[in-house]
Amino acid sequence: MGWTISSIPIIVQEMETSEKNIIARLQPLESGTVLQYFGYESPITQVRGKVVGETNQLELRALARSSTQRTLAGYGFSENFYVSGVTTVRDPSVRQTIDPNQDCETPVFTFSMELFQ
Amino acid sequence: MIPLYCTVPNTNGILSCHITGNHDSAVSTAIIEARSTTLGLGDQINIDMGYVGDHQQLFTGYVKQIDKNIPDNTYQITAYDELIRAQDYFIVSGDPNTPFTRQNITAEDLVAALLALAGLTSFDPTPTSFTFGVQHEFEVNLVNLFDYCKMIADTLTWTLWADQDGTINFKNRKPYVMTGETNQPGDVADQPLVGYIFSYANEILDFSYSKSERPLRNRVVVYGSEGIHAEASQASSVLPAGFYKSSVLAFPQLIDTQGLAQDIADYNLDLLNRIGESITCTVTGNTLLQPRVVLDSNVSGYSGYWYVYSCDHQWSKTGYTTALDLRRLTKV
Repeated sequence: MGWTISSIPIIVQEMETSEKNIIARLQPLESGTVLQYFGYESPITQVRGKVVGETNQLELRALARSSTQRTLAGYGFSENFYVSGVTTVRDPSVRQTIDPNQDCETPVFTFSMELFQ
Repeated sequence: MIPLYCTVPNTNGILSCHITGNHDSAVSTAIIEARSTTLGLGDQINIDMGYVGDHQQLFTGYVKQIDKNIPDNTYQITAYDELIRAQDYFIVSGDPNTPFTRQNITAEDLVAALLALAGLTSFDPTPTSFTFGVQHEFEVNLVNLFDYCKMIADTLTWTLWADQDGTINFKNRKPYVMTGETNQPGDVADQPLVGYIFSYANEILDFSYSKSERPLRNRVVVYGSEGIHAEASQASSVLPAGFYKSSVLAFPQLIDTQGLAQDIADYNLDLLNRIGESITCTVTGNTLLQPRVVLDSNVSGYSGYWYVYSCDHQWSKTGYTTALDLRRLTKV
């Protein structure tokens, strides 16, 4: 089974997760930097890949317009995220063979998505 | 790296905390921003703040206002220290024919009796040697409690404040480094704060200095009850020869002896006939720093003792810093 987010079929090409401490950096006039630790941010996951078809592209963008948690699943992976943002760019292609269930003239989009936990 | 620490009762997800204290302000203020709270108006809170392993209670007071911020979904809680009870208390007798009256009472006993009206009984005064209403009974009615007590403190050059434990102080605390040379009650030479040296090496983040004669007054006139008045003056080397900047105190109800009026004039002249130096700076946060303590400085050109006139603790994800206004008033 391929990748889906909230049951929308996508092709994940890259998934990047980052963690971040919140560190204040104070610079005294005549001594070294002072670092103060405030806490940490929950992980942020960036997903980049392809989505085939105008309908799937619009549904994918609609995920960034609600506060509902969405399930990203595929190849043994399944986790819930809040979709912070989605960007799609239409590829300059005239034929597609990525999704055999759709017409070969269906447009293909490259997407990037920011997910919060 | 030093982990930050802050706790406020019944409040979670603290985003920032700002505690402000000042030598002359009516009350200390705390403003807390947090993700959630079950605090209600009037709740008493203690704020324990600093670093993990190095923190202490910096504030005791009452919640006076709670704001919810949308879309951040955060709460802003505003609290004031114990003296807010005096500020919120208006003295008004139920029967206009039986107001609060006293006669032949020391200033500290009068302030204690007035503060007790607002339930403020944890009181730590310096005996003043000033007695009011020696000749005549006087009444206190239709005035704000804090304003009246502050007027007494200002008249005697005393200071009224609540400390971080909630005790109300009424003391001979001048807004400068005291040397113990005036023979006034409670005038003892200030000792600098133990464990803190004001220096660039002690993490000063920014610094500015100014010097001014603006607060100087070299002539004080006191008006008391009918026939009672006094004056004290002294030439100043920073003013033109023979020029006097005057200040006046009028307290006809309470000042009814010539000796009291003259003492008040002398005390105020000693306080006011000074030029002011001030340092405004920000240092890395330190819980030892409080308003009304004295710091020893080894900053080149600005060494010696400095009085902490105001102290703001600012704690958030941008770090914990303390903003200071340091004063030095010098006789000229």
